[in-house]
Amino acid sequence: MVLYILRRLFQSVWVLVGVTVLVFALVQLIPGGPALMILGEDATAEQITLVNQRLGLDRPLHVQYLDWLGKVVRGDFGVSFQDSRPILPDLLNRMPATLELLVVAMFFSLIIALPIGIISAVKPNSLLDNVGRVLALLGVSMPSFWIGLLLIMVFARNLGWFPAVGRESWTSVIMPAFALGVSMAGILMRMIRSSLLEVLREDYLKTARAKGLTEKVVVLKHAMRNAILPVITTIALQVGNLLGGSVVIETVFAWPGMGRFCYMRMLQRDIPTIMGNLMLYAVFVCILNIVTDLLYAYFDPRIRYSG
Amino acid sequence: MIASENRGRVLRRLFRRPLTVIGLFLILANIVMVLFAPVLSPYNPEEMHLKDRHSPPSMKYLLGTDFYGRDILSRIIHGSRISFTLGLSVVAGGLLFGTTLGLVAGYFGGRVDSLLMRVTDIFLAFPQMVFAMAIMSVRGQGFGNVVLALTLTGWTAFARLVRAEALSLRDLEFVQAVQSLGARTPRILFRHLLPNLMAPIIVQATMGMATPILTEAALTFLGIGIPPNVPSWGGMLSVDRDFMETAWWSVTFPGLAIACTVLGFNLFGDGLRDALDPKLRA
Repeated sequence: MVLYILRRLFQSVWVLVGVTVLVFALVQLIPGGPALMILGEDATAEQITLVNQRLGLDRPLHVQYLDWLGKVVRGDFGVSFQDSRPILPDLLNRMPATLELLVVAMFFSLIIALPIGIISAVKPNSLLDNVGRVLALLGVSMPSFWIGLLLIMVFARNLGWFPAVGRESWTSVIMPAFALGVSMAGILMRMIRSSLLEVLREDYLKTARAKGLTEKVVVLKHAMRNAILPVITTIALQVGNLLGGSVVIETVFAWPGMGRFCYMRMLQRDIPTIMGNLMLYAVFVCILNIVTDLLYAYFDPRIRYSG
Repeated sequence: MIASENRGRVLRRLFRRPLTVIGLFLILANIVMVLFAPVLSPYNPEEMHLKDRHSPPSMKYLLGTDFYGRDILSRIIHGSRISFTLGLSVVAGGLLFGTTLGLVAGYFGGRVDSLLMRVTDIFLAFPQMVFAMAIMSVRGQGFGNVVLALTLTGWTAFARLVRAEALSLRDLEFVQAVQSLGARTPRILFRHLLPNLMAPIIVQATMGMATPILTEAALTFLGIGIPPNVPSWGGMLSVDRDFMETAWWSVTFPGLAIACTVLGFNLFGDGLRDALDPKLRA
């Protein structure tokens, strides 16, 4: 197990090194370079040279990269072009709001997906299964920000049940989290269905039934324990998507999290903050993947011992 | 490749399910809108009827008008062009780039495979939306940039799928046979392996239309996608989002257009997968 964890961590380090290369390469995509972007279209060649000198952009690319990498590894994400404040604290301060949104969204998608997914698998091709299938596909087909807009229109503006924007009261999180969780619910529903359906065919469940266990115990205790494994992976993969979706949802609901902050800085083309934010998201996804793999190895001993 | 005697069976299986037929219908309706937009639109999508700003759905304006008094139905019909061509371009980019890399990784295996898969891991470390937004913010608005951003973030799906399938095929006898006949590698990859992977690739290409359409709508809604002077569904939602209490139609219908289009590709892709690979269907 220790060996497995070490190998897994080693892999992630390489992925993160690749991530830094990609984030750094993003700056090279700026048409005309960062200096032209800061100064505007009618900057003179001298001004551009001056800015490049001040930001160290006149050095060879690999020197710039290694310099930046060295700082990032030490937790120094640089300062914002916008307000000259250090970037990392500003991002981390907004993390709890985003995490709250993600957790509640995940909770919503699970309470929607679990019952429908289980029923669909127990009674495949029934009416309920088909309704579930349509619901799931509908869930992944609707843009989450549009669901958010409709929720605001109906439940905030017309009915006044929930606040439309901000994070003042505990009810604030409900609408954004629901809008965010809908598409994940659709994906989870399908995953739970197919995974459980496969397990339900196995012989050990015949044994369980033959022992005289009730169908409820057979499905929920014996079958679900094995069926849940692929579902865990799906959830982990989806959290990355939720994180991406949260940027849009936070903007729609003026939710004071990392995503909205990141978006506003993107509009201002605040390159250091965008780079820092991308790094933070990537680290988050990598940690999540490691945790998933470890959970998986914990639940399924076959993985621990084989290659 | 689907042999001709199989083709009939696959088609029958495909159209047996009503949901798949609905999906195909939604896709065809979309294609008709894309092709005949100027004929189908009752008004010029850019024409501002300033006396009829935010007028509700009526016989004159079937789906109402927006903040500038532009006919929403006409704008939805014209907006389909952006979504559809964008989806096609991104899928084409993903097919070209992802399929080639996936074939190479799966066929050669070993070091080549692990190197290429690490590269996809790196791209997958970013939430797609955030990565696309970052690219758009440095590149600026525009159709080409949206295609670039979504292809850069979307090719991994094709690469991983094709790689897994190629890996399972490369040790089969027919591959060994062409190898021993002395076929060159590109020929083996594209003439022998690729045709056998068409079924999953077709499914992925169909379902793969969904994500770019959704992501483009979100980017444009946020003001960093398609420029506002081009009629697009995301842009329509962005113009009228502040007026939804008074003009519900202006935020409802464009979103419905996105949802229906994406649903069409998802339904049809889902049905295709079941028809092409009955093993997956319980």
